[in-house]
Amino acid sequence: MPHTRTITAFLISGIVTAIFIAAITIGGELAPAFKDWLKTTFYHHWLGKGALAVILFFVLGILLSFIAPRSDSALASSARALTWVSILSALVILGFFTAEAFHLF
Amino acid sequence: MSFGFAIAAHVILGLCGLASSYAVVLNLRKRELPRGFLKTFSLIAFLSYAASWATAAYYYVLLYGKAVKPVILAGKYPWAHTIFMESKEHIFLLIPFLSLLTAAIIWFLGNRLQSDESLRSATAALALVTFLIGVFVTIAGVLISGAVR
Amino acid sequence: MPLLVIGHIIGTVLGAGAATFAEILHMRAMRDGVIDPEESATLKVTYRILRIGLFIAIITGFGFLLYFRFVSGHTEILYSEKLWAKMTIVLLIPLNAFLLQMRRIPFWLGSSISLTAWYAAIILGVYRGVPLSYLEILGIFAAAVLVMAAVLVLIRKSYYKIASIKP
Repeated sequence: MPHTRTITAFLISGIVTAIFIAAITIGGELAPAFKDWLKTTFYHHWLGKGALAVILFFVLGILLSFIAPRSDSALASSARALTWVSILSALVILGFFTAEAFHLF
Repeated sequence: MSFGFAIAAHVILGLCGLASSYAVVLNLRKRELPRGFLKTFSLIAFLSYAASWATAAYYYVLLYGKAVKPVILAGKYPWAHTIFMESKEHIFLLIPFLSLLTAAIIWFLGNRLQSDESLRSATAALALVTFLIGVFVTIAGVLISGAVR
Repeated sequence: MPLLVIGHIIGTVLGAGAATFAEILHMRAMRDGVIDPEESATLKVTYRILRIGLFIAIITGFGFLLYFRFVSGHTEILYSEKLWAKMTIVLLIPLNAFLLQMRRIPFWLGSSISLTAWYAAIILGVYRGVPLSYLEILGIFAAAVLVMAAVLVLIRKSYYKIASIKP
């Protein structure tokens, strides 16, 4: 079924995007030059992060739709993996800013 | 658009998204899946979150940084910005993708959800995590607003 | 502001009323041990009213928070322990409903949490100066849940006894 493969592709893309969001968030705080680049290119660093996440999600999703598995089990597994990765990404972001606020690094 | 209107729209649309995600989670657990209901509310969830994102962007980019953030940082509760606003603005970015994918599964593979228990529970889990992340974002919003003194 | 108050009261009345009637109707439906299709349909409508009431109460509740932040300027209310206790209790309502549907908590506990939460939200909303901390309020709430559970068990037992005796 074409929908199964496409949706699996976008679920995998969602997993990568969730990791990317955490990475770009932390990267922006630890590398001020990168945050400045986002500000210059996208008017505001947060707009830049959102825009890059959207671009990554759709470009990667389209590319993966040619090679993603077609099986029903891969679809369900990808959805479950995305759930867990999203929770972890959210916790990492919260943990990072909490640690930063308490000057733990 | 006035900033007050933007933030009110941001909050109300976000709550509509939350309510819709919750409705999707509950209805995915029913014995007979109400497909029309699930399609409607999964779409409302995604559109509400997307609109909440847009109205938040208007307020955050044009006003918050220069007029609200300095007040919070200089006040009694600077952690409201350093922890909760910083976390909220980035964690929120997960929500539109999660809700879009939940809606996509329901819209395009809805006929399989009735019989495929594994897919159904995975989809419910996606909607549930969207709801829970949304609850965190909402609570953070209250903390941030309360720190503006 | 008056519109928000009216809306909030309507939401709370619908929600608390529906939660109360859901309990009564469920008890009545279970007197023969089986919920028939007609009883199930009535319960479904009641739960729908409850969710609509909850949605209206939450939206108008956040309307109050927006009013305090952007109109009256009383942002200190947003850090009130009473408010946070009320928000925690209100959040328990949908979470409890989810756990009940998933059969992760027993019915006697879930129904008690639902009823107690609605009436606790009403009480906290009415009383202006509650001189208790967040944890104290939640502690009293937890105790109230257990008392409510015991009361409901007693009511159910005596109702089913009377129902079984009637010709």
